[in-house]
Amino acid sequence: MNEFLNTLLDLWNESGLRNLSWTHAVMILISFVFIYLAIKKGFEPLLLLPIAFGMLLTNLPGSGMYNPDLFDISSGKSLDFGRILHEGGLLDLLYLGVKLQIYPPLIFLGIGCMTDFGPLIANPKSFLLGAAAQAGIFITFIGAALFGFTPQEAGAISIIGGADGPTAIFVSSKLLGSGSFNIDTGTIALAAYTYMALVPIIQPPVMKLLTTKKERGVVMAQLREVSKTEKIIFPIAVTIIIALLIPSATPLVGMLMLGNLFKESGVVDRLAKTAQNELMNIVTIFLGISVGATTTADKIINVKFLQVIVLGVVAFGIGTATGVLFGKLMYVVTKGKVNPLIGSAGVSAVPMAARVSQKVGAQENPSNFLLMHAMGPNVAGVIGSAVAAGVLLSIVPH
Amino acid sequence: MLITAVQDGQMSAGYVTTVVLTGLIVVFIGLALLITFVYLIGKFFKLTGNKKKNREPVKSDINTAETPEPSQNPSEPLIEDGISEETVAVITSAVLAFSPDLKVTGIKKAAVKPKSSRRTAWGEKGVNESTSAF
Repeated sequence: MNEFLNTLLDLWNESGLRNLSWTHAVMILISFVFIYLAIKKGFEPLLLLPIAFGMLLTNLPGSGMYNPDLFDISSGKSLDFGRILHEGGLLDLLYLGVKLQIYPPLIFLGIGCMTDFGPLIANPKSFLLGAAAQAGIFITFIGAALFGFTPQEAGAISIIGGADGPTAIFVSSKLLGSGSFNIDTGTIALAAYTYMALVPIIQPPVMKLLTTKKERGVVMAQLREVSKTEKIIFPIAVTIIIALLIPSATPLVGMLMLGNLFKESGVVDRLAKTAQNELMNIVTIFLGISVGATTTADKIINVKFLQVIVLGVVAFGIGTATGVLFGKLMYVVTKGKVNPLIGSAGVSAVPMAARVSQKVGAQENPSNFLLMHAMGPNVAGVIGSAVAAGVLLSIVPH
Repeated sequence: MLITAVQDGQMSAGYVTTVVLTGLIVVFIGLALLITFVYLIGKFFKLTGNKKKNREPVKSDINTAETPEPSQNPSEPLIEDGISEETVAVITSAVLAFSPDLKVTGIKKAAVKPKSSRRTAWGEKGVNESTSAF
């Protein structure tokens, strides 16, 4: 009988219930909120759902699926891969893909296969809108400095303004990869994907505030047709130009353009299909669940995370505003031929930001179809945010 | 770095300004280079496209003698090469269905060639999919 009671006591001591603290409970509740937002509200469900479930798994005490101490490289230690492979749980192993920056470029490969750069090639001036919207990234860097973040943390926070999840994860895992920081990749990813899901809510008020009724009603001329040869040359040329100018942007831009070349060449249909379907889906699951696993209570329940949330929304707002303001400049220069609303699509977040431009434009003039015009700045924003990421990695010490 | 990144635990104003300005300028330069390249490529293809177009009418003048006279019957549709009779029949019937003013004046029965393959259309597609790569 005594033995039976001792066994029960041991079981109780090892159980999650015994080790459940109030912070774990709060994190589990937060994960429920994100699961709700993903399933019921459809907020970026492909990533938010695995992230939220990863958050749930990691905050169930005793599950041992993710062990942050294995990745603790503060006080000059380096990653012990042998120890991770021997002692790590499933999520530790999957997290290596984030830590070694493998997943984001693979996701970019899939995105490249799905992206049509035709509208951008037809109207190359769209690149300027894609560049202007990146101002949100760099202006937020100032805000992060004012909040007292380190240069690495500020760089990781400001990239949220690029509205590009894989880019945010790539930059934050590189900048926050070595040393001890108050925030981590999971925090940045969570904020980035939440705001990306909120693009249709955050952008329209900014767009309406900065434009007049007349500007929103501008009907743009039809885009020219782009030949197949141009579409094939484009990814090769972009890779060479960007890689030579900003080498640290090459993993993202290079894989994006390789995917696009798969698509446009038309000779590797099977590879293109695999990259945009099976491979992308597998990587999305691994990325989402392992990033979610890093969101432990000590990283989320603190003032720094709240500051990240505030700076994230500022970054998005400024990115949208600078895109629209540059659109207004183009409206003036072209004597009313450019609808400034397409500028907001420069923040990346493909294709949601372009859809928002279309929707706000259609509210003024239901027969106005801005979608294809907005797709130009939108895909330019993807390239722009990858370039901005490369610039941050080049100038911020890490 | 010429400017110290951190002073007393805070980023120095000079460093922050450097990051912001460098970042914005480099992003604009990078994308401006891409604009120039895409613009030039577009111009090149437009020029070569125009040259081709200019050559085409000369070709058609030479071929005029060889082209057959258009059909005298105005009700008979002109059909471009490469479009099967079946496709023409489907499009014509669709147009007729939506045009109350048009009438069917006659029906031509085309000979149906039996298919050499015994596979269904789905089977045929499946075989093509799995063998096209080789």
